[in-house]
Amino acid sequence: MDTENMYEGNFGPNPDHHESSTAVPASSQKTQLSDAMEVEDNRSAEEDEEDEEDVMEDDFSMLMRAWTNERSAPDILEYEGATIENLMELVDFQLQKMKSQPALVANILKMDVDRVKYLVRSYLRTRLSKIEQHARHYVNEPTYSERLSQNELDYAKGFIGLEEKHVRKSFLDQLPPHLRTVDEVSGEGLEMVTKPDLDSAVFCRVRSTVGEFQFEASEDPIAMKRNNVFITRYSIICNLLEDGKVELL
Amino acid sequence: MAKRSYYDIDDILAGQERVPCVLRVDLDGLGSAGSGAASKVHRDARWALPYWMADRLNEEDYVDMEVSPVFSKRANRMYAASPESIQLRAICQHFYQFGLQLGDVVPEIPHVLRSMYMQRIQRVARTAQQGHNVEALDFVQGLDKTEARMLKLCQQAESAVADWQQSKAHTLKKASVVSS
Repeated sequence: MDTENMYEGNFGPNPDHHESSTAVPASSQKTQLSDAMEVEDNRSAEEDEEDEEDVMEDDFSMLMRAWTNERSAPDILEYEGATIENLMELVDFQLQKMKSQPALVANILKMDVDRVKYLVRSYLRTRLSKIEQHARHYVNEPTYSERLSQNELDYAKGFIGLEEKHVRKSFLDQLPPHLRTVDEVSGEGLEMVTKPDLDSAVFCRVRSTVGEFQFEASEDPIAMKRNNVFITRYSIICNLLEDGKVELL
Repeated sequence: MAKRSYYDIDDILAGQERVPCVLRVDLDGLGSAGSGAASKVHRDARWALPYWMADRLNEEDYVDMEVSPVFSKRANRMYAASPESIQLRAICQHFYQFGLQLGDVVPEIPHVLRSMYMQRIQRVARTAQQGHNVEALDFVQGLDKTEARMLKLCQQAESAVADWQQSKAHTLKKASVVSS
């Protein structure tokens, strides 16, 4: 995609900046950005051979993939802390570099920085809205509370406190004491603490061949080859998503 | 048809549907709550209670809950015979949601619901795509809440596709509030 090439192109011709500037972290992915461009060109030439080399992915495309996954998945996914930190440092570096450039080039660099900032903001906003929908569940379950960053966890707890305070003040404290709970299970198994619906339908594309995969217990396994697109229930492929073998569309 | 949820409004409304019950105990002073006659209600009196109440009282053995007439054997046979011509709104406005709730207790109901839904939803989708005409009007007026929502979704999807084909999908328009 054009934006990714534009992003890589900024750093490709100036490798000396990486070593000299202390603001840029020593991430192996970035020092190989110029290599990444060439690797990608090689890959497109060899695609009919179904080669599956591990393409060096730069932070931006990783965040883009995490962002698309986050927007399509019903529950909250692992926080890409390292990617975001790297990207924010790159943004700072880029802003520094902008000051010494003529106006037109500075404009283009600024557009680039704005794209990155938009992506980061949208990623965080999606996660926050998911947290707000099912805050209690994410805080109580350890599998989910591990996927949140420390800031998000604090936000979730604050949100729960605010909501409970509001509900209590509005009407709950005027009910008799045994009706004041906010997290019990009712007689028919309905829970007051809402959970995300893990059976919602998602489109997914296979990134690396998985072979025969059992979709439903009663049906035959289906071969999942690279670049195949499936529509299925989220719960079936969520493990594959965690391993990075599929991505959501 | 939303999954059963504590906070779902349609779920709560569907649980309000009445089911016939037989009282197991004598009740004093509640006559006006039932069919509205005497003030003392004896055992074996028949009452129509909302499902959410009847289910709990059934567990406590204060009443014997019976299958609602919406899902009686005769009704099930009718549904199987001609699913598309039945006016669900007249029978029960929250047919599917109510069926979901009863389905925990009565095992044949999920089957009935599924075959009804599969047949009727095809007609709903067809009606959405062809636009309303006279013969579809009766059908549309007889849909229950779930199907009506599906119809609306299909119609919105149709107009969205039409917009997209004319490249109007992502056009920014001046808001009507901001008049010049």
